[in-house]
Amino acid sequence: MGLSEYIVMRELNHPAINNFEVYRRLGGWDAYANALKTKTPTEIIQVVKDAGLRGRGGAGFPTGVKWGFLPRGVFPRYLLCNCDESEPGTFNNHQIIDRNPHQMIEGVALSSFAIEANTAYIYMRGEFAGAALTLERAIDDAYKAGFLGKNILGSGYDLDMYVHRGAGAYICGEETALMESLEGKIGQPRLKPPFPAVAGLYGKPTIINNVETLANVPLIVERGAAWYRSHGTEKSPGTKCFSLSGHVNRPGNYELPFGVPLRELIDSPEYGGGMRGDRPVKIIIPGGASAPWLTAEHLDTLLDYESVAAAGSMLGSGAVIVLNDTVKAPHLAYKMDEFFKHESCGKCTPCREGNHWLVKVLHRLAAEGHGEPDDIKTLKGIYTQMEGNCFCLLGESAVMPIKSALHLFPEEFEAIIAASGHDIESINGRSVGVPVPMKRTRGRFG
Amino acid sequence: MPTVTITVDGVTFPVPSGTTVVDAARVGGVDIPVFCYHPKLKPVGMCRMCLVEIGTPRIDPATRQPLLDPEGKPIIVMMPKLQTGCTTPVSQGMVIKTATAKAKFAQKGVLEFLLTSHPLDCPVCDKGGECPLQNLTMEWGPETSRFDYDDKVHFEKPIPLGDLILLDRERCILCSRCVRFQDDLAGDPVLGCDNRGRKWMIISKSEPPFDSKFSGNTTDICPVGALTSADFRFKARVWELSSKPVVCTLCPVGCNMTHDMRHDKLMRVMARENSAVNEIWLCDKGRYGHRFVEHETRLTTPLIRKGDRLVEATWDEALRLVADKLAAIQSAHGGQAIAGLAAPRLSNEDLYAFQKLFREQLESGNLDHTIGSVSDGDYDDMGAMLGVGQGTNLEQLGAGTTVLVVGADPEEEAPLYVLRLRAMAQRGAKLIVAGLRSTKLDHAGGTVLRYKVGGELAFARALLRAVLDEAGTRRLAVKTNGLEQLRKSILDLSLASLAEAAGVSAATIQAAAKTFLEAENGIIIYGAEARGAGPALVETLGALAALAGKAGKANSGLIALLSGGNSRGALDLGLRPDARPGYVPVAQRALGAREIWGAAKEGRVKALWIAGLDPAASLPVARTAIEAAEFVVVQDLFLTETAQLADVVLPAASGVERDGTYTNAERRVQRSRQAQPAVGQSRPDWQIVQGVARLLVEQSVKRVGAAKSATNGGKATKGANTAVAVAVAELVAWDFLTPAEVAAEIAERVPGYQGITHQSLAATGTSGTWGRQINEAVFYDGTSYTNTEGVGLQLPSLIEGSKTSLNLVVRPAAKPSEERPLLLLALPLAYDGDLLLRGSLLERQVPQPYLALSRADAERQNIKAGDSVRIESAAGQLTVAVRVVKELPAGVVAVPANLPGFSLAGVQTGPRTWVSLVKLLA
Amino acid sequence: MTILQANHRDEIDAIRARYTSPRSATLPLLYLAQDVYGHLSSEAIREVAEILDLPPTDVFEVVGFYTLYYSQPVGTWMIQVCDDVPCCYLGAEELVEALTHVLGVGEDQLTADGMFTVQRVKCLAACDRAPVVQANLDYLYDVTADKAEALLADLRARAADGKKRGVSGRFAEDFEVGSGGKLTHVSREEPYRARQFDSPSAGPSRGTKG
Ligand SMILES: Cc1cc2nc3c(=O)[nH]c(=O)nc-3n(C[C@H](O)[C@H](O)[C@H](O)COP(=O)(O)O)c2cc1C
Ligand code: SF4
Ligand code: FES
Repeated sequence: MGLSEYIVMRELNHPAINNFEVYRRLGGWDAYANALKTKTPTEIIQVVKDAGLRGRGGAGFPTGVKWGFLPRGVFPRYLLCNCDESEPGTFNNHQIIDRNPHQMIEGVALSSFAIEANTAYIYMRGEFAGAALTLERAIDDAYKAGFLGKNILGSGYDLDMYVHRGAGAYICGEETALMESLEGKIGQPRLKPPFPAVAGLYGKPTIINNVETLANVPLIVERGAAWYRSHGTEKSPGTKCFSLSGHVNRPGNYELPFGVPLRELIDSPEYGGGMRGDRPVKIIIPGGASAPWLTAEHLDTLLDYESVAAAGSMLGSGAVIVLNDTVKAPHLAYKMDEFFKHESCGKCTPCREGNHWLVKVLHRLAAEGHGEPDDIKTLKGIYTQMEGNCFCLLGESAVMPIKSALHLFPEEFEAIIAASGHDIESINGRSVGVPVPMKRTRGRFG
Repeated sequence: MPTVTITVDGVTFPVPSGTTVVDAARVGGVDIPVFCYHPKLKPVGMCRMCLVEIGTPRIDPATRQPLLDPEGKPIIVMMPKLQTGCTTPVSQGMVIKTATAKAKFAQKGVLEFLLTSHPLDCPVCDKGGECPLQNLTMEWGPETSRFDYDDKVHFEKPIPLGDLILLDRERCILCSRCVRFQDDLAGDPVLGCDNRGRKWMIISKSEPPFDSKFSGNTTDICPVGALTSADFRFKARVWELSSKPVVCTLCPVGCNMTHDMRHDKLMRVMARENSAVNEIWLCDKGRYGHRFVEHETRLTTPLIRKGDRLVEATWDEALRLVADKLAAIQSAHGGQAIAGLAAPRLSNEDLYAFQKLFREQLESGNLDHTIGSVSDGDYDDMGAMLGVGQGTNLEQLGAGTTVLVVGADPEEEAPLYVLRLRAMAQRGAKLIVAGLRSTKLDHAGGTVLRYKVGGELAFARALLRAVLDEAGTRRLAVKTNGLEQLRKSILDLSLASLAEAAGVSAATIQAAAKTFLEAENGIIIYGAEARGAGPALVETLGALAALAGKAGKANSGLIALLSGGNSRGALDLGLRPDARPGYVPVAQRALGAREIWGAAKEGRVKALWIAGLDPAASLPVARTAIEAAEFVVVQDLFLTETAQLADVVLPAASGVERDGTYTNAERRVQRSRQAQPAVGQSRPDWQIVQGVARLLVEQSVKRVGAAKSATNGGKATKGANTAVAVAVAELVAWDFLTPAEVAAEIAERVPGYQGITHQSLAATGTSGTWGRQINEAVFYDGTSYTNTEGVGLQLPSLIEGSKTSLNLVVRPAAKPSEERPLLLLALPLAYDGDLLLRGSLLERQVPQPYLALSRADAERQNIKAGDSVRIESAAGQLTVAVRVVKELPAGVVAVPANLPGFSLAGVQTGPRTWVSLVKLLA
Repeated sequence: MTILQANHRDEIDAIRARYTSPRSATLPLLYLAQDVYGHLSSEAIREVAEILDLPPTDVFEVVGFYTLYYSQPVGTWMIQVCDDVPCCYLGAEELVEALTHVLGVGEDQLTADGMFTVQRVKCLAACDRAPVVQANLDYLYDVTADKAEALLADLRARAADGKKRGVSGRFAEDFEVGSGGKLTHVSREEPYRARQFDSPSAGPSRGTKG
């Protein structure tokens, strides 16, 4: 089910595409140049809507629809490209920027034109220091070639584009925290409403999109909605750059049409190449750390937003972590929640205190290897009090690993507690293998 | 106000639309617990304590009407997730469930989470007893902790955040109320949070730390015992305290506060709610500056001079001596040989009695309420004449109001105005801040105008000119004299030339004038810098208000920031040589402080009675005069430098040791209650005055009697009896038993004060909605006390409904000095040499003397911070260390006005002093 | 005038020019200050506040919130090991142990010679090259525990370069770590290659068999 031509990973077809000249020779920046001359912003928004492009940042929200939320006639507007990519297991933005930066920049420029923004910031996680330099060079190239700056190509359109580096905080990927960070503050999420499209950066209408989302835009505009829809599924059109990691033979980014079976991604010699050392698959986390876990039973799930949701998880950022039977569920839950604890911004009580407490109990169970009789009850108590009650989705996401672990592998918790000399009543009558139903908690804009 | 109907826990009632769910539920008597929410702060929804179930009617998209179920009731769609009640505004038909299993589970969850990092040290916590966290935990928290780890956050405790506030990081529940108060309301962004997640913690990195005049409020709104004040920490348990309602007299705002007493000792000062004065806030001066009351150096007995010593005496001895001496001097030299000064922090009753003694008993009009230093300026009549009209309430003003602040530094002169003006600006009021130098108010969200040195009068005239251009010759609501003349003379000046002289562009002036003119309410606030420019400026500001139609009505007019907590009362009650109580001019002006010193030195004034002022400390001419006077009575709290020169020293009870009324900058008269018994044998000032008065009456009765019997050869006659009867009648007039009776006489006799009695003041009701209320401990506890003493009565401006008319005179502008290049400003500081700061933690914040120099002037003269310089004026010179500041423009230097042991009197030449500056070599 | 203002005027101006609000320049200026002074001392933080005319507390907050600002002195090489899922299950724990063992100091501690600080960090978004390390924000890929010693030696040899480029990553590059622990520069001009583990031919694993 491979692609004959890649969309966002075009370096696979054109190895030197991160060189400006090469990109240009391959027709790069043409979509933008033509659009400036021949298309109106509304037309571009319409193409993106028609193509059914969905946000790759996690929520899968239709990009064209989001752009349509901008209040009429309010300026200045800003476009923010979200390259905070910090969700464990997610690493495709990193590659797109390193290897195909000009297309991403062209996407940012085109999208800025479409939403009538004159300033675009690319918010990079602080650790992407090298990638930030790549982008800065690429932006320089674009300025030199006249694709950025004042009165671009004589069209009267002005656009400035800057790279802004964060400094180590996963929460800054959350769109409102990102804006706070860009304003020079600590990255804590803002109260919504108002939504960014209405009052975002500096209180002005702002659109925030993921790197991969924006990298799709040039080809969509150039080749049209129908072409784009020829990839993927009806509801999840196009391709997705899956970040495959864990105990597979060939971890890496694979751009595949939406709807590819999970098994194919893992097993195909072209992609995952099967499990390392031939060990069995135990846990699959299909959408980054925030996604509920799947197991070997779900290998036939198709990788598109709807199918993964139907399987009880979410496609999220498309980061597929595959782990073998050496991994213990309590330990995985511990590692995952340690991440969320580390990244909890501290603003709201359930996330700040709940994560700390979860990790305390999980550390005892998973790292120290002993448990107290009430531990399972306590863990459930903690996460049910977090679930649905946090300020933003970071805290909500932290519920997924422990909830999944307790649902899928209760016996592993029980065993630890039993080994510590305690009697154990089975906590939920063998629910092994039954996926945790996914809670649709993403907000309007994710 | 439009209302919507909502249903909370099954009960349906109307609430104002736009209210948050938490506040709306409260209207219906349902308490939703909160921690981060505070009614005066913007909601942030971060603590998650207020989670409730919320639903709204399903709307038919076609008709925009609610869809009904078969029973005809609207179909309610409940939101799938719980919502924070503090951030959700109510809407029509909203259904709120606060007590369902789901909501309670979540609320208890949040409480349990908070307790996992909160120490259970309630028994030693200052907040214990008024802590919402404690109360909620007691009410429905878990009995035992499931959090079986020994690692509640541990921090070094407590950490001083500044001089006044300590932080106990273990107790902090990270609601950020304190940070938000400082950022949004106080405008001093000196608090923040270090780190993140569970390590998040409050820090202050200003220099000095927690550099704000409002820091104490954070201890009130902190919902736990994380922020405590150094002044109260570990002093008492709150349930042992009894709260006495008093009015602060440390500045002209007149904040309502309580003195929380244990037995007879002051434990702490808390805000008392008065939406028209201080809302629920206090500045740190008010909160921490009342330790003088219990200071060990308070005078406790009368003292009488024996040679070069002052020895203890009985009241009887002391009062008799005063009466005898004054009577003797009066009969030998007439009343004009006696002069009296009474401090503008004394109560209206004290001041009234004092001037009555002088005018009616001693037959002297030589009265004042200042020491007559150059910085004291002229008597401010304009602030009463065109004072903001009766019914003014700044808390209700926002959009539609323009406030013009001219030459004032409210942060130092009247701190609470910073909060009030910022809040008004946030509600949409337009703020125009004009001055020579930058002040805190520049950052309150208004327009900042900087006129040039010596350009203030031109600036005000330019505004006036622009107003005349815009408004033309429309009829004024107030009666005026000389309007035509003023109009003509202003129209003779071109806007361009005035703007040029002011150093502000004509367009800016026009815009400001337009904003002021077009506003529904217009207020002009002026302070020390403006008053120091001489009467012409203030009169022009008055004319501006009058001609713009912003006078003689509620919410419009002038507010004068005078020094002293009751300066307006002193002016209203005639503590001045030129007018009797109620601004009734006297036929012939007597001597004011400035003239008194000269007259005393020359021997024309022989007796001085000084109540609550210490002229000898800062004014060399006064010291000489006092030394020269034949007889000096000082009545004060402390043995001041002036008292040390006195013949008789009378110990006065402080304001909180008796009842009294005070008149604030907005001419609101407020009642303050006795919080504690008088220290030692000290007595209220009015009582001391009355004691002397009675003796004087007695003596004059005797004198009259003696004179009569002398003329009648010792035989009692009918005529002598009549004389005695007259004297007895006067004696009756000095028979006040309580200050309320003095106030009753004021109400009867002083124009403007009709109806202002203690009873009527007490009947002015409670104010605001956020004060602490019984059984609301769960809710906003610790914010402020409910007002039980009435919120005061505002006097009408003189121009309102009376025959008074406004004199519009045109005075020539003062000429700047030719040979000395720098204007010397006397900086009013909140924390200065005021004796009342004695014993308080604020004493530490009183700076060493310094001269503030602009960066430009410092660079030009190659002067660095810390260098010594000499300033020279026509009157003298002064050596002082330099601070280089960014707040001053070139051409202006500033020196704190009233620092202990440091006086500007030697160099000041008049309201405006011009100096030159010499750098001294190290 | 301070070092920052005296020597980096142009860079400061360029940074400020990118934003509508001066406060937005806080993060980049802190990076600059951190490179100039080695870490962010109180004075350095105050200096940034002064340049941007911000309340110092606001800038201290930022330094405290983000993990890439160091308010204590750190090594010439700041070594940050990802210990998150998936690195954790591909050898990160062993790597942290090896690094601290070779250096003889605990995590987050500065070696006596001031050369290294080893720190655990969360996912670095290069999970295909696990275990992943950043040294002064240069990416180092495929760092298994057996390469720890050689890696440290290599870094030590390039200390001058590390010092020059600073810990803020303003000149960061990418490297992969070969089997001998040798660092090879990874050019971003080269196409992306998926990782190939030793036994690709092992074919579909048991668990994945339909
Ligand atoms: C805690 C948290 C972290 C997030 N991190 C990222 C991220 O690193 N990159 C990203 O694109 N979106 C991230 N998101 C989602 C963004 O908030 C936002 O939805 C997204 O950038 C929108 O872009 P899209 O419409 O192109 O998907 C995060 C959301 C949350 C709640
Ligand atoms: S859930 Fe709460 S504490 Fe966690 S990151 Fe979001 S706002 Fe911060
Ligand atoms: S979240 Fe509503 S009170 Fe804190």
